[in-house]
Amino acid sequence: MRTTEFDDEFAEFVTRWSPALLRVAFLLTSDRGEAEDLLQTALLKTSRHWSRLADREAAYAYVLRVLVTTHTSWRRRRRVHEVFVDQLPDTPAGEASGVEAGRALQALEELPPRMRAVVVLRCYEGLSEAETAEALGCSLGSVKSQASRGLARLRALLDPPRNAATAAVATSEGAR
Amino acid sequence: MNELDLRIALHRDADLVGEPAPDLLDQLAVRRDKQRRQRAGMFAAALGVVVIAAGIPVGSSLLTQSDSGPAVEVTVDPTPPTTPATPSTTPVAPPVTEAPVTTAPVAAEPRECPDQATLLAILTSSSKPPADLYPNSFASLCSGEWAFTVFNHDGVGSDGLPFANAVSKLYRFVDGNWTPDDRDARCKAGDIPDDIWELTCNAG
Repeated sequence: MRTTEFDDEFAEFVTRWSPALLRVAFLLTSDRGEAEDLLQTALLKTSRHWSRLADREAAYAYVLRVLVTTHTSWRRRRRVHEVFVDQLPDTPAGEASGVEAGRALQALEELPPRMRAVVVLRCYEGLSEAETAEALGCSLGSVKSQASRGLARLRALLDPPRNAATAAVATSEGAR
Repeated sequence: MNELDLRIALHRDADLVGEPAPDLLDQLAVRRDKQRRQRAGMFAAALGVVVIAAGIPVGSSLLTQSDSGPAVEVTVDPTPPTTPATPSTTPVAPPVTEAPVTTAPVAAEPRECPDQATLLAILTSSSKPPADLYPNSFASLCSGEWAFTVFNHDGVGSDGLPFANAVSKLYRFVDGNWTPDDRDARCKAGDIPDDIWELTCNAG
């Protein structure tokens, strides 16, 4: 059994937190396969230093940081092939936010990697500006400006919900 | 749209990814093993190139070395002289009562080159054991009374990401034991054999 090769605490950490981390990875990548790849890479990097992570309570934040920085470096090194789908996933009942399912994800794809990471950490993970700056290894001012611009851009893409998003995506596709 | 709406939308879209694979830990273990093999292979290949590159100038210098140079362990005369060697320019015969004495430095006695695990054990038992060194696929190299190997050490780069760092260690055979030696001082002084110097000092 391979799992016994890992530290028990690490195995427990993976079991407990991998669903949440996979969701963050998915928001960063928009692709299930790439999100799993990113998550595994981040967890492997963490496993090598697990014995020296003194504060296990901070392990999640550590993996989160590795996840984001790894994704940023991947984006620098390779151009991810992005495919915009015409058919969005079925919208569940409600649309409580006024946004169709999948639209927010699609709008996130329009943001540069760094700005996208800031928005995900701030709006999805609920990190403070300082925590986001620490996770990304950048200044507080940078986080503030990236978050402000990122949110403004997302609002422009998502509001009004349907037509604006479609138009914005089409426009940005043409600009690429 | 306000921030709360956006937050709700992000959470809903994040849920589209579903759950991680149930055998995630097994997949991690497989990837870790594969990465280890890849790193070991790349390191061995890089080291092979360094060894070959270092060997060419050393071999060339040995071939071109003149007889007047410092004696080396190369012996060209298959029959050992029964009398002390006499310089060709000296007509005087050597005293017959003296036994032949070999004054040239002879190559260090062949001794078994310690493996990496042995060298690591020596290091960790020393007065200042280095932290967190671990062995890799690198085979230790010996030349005369000197031995050299490279261990791995996990570090964290300026970008905050972990990486495996190579750490060179030098040893000397002193009083019948392999003893850790000051690599930096030896590299500066240059008083170690060329092949060892090339690897431990020049190749990083």
